[in-house]
Amino acid sequence: MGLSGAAWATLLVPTFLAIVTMFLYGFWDRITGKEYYVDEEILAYDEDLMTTLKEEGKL
Amino acid sequence: MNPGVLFGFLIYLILLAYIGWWANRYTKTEDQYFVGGRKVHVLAATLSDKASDFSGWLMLGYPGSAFRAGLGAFWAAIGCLFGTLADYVLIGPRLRIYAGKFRAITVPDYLEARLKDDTKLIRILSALIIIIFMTAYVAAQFTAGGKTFAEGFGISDNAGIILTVIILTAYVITGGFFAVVWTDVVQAGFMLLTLLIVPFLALSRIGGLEKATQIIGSADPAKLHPFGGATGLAAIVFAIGYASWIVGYLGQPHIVTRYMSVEDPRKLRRPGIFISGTWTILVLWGAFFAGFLGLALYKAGILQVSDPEKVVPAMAVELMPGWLAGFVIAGIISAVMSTADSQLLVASSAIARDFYHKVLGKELGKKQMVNISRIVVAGVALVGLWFAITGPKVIYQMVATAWGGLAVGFGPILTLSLWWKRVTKEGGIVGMAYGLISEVILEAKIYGWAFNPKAPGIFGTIGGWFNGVPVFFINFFITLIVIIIVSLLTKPPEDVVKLHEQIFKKVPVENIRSKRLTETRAKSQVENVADFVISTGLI
Repeated sequence: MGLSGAAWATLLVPTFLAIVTMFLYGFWDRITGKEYYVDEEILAYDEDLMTTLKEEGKL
Repeated sequence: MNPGVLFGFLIYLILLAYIGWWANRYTKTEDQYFVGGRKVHVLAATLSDKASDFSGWLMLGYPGSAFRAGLGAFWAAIGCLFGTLADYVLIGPRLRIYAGKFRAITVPDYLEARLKDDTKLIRILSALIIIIFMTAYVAAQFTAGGKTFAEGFGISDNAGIILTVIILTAYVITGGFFAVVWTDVVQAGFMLLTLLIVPFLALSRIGGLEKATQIIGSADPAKLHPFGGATGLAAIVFAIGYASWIVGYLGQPHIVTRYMSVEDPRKLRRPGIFISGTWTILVLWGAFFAGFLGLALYKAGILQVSDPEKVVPAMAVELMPGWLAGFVIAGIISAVMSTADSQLLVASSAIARDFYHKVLGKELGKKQMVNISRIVVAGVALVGLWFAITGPKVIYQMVATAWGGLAVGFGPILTLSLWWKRVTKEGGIVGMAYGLISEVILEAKIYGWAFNPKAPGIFGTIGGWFNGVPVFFINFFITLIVIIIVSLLTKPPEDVVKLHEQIFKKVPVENIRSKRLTETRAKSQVENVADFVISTGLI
């Protein structure tokens, strides 16, 4: 018996579309040549943690 | 009790205990307890995002749904898959950028800063939404843990629920966010393995997919139909009913907090979406086929299933050697734990940080705040335990109710605040208040989690139109419209609009590549501003 064509389409078509979406979004910066500007203020991590770890010799 | 199952499970527990101990060394401040100091590796953040998202629902609730409904239940997988992708496209990077700018640790932190709300109403509403619906969500996870322990070790559901609460609360209290994130990574691995192994074993036991579909088709042909046998408009309503999970992704605080913790927002694009997307595809296919093939095994008389939501642990105990079944039980408990731990942490942050610290303005030392958070975790766990023991014990329904409250409460305002500069604090306050009140009334008093024609008066007529569609799906769009209308009637502060216009400016990729993080840190603020001005072509 097996699954019908419509059943296989239900399983495979959305999965394929999701993979296409993943690649399009994942490489959108390469496709358009532009990416969000991110500066030090946004990237800044927890300075307290780094100081503590350095003091404790864990870094 | 099977000693092999116990052995496999104990190894898993030892691993969890080690991670909790290791992470405790890195948890000294509130910031580290709740977002891991915003320095979490992208691999950990993305896998943790998915492990937190896919809960006992994935391992028990969803296979149970596939067991009951057959192929039509795959629409829920489609909704979850595209919901995951929508989170990366619409929420992740932008939320991380704003979170870094505002030094936001929690979703209420972000909303308050973004909408410049000085009334504290957004924080109070957020805390209420989180406390009510997250506690219900945690209760669903406890129930899932209880059911798994019951099936694996032959104990009662309630004894299993208590065991789940003890293990989980212990490591969340000990380790905070670092423990949660890194146990999530291990748990994501366990979940993936479980959902790959179980369907293949079932397939070999039953004699192939063709044989399985033959057994299911001869019992009930509608279970092989993509829309459960429905046609026309009924088929569309059927598909929406299952796929409606998609909108909920935009508003789950325990998921979006992961994006706020990642080290660099650009990494959510690559490799973030690929890690999450691939993992999601594999586990959703695995969970669907586990339930679908479990149905074939059940119809063929190979498997005894006392409750459809126990189909995966029942298959593990039936089809595998004891020690391997122990790992599968650990995989299921992983899914439960990895979601419940994040939810406990978010619920705890809503009370300890958003309410006690920010609304009441209680200033305490960082160490004391961490300790208060730990007490709150224990309190929330106790309330969740009570709900789990006295509740309906149907995971799919319990998760849909809690998911819906969070989706309507946070989804519309989060999405609009990240993409629309005109959204105002008044829009946010009215929209969130509407979302909270309407979800509580519609779910608790009128419909339950999904529309149905049994509701009284006009609600029964509406319930007939959307029969089977979760309440939150329709209510999400109503809340979205409410926020848009109120925002258009009010005016956002100029500096908020200006910041929104500036913060998401895009720059050529070459300029980013040529400047490494260490280089950025070595420069002064003035030099960085100069770089920005040159790279964006302002001069």
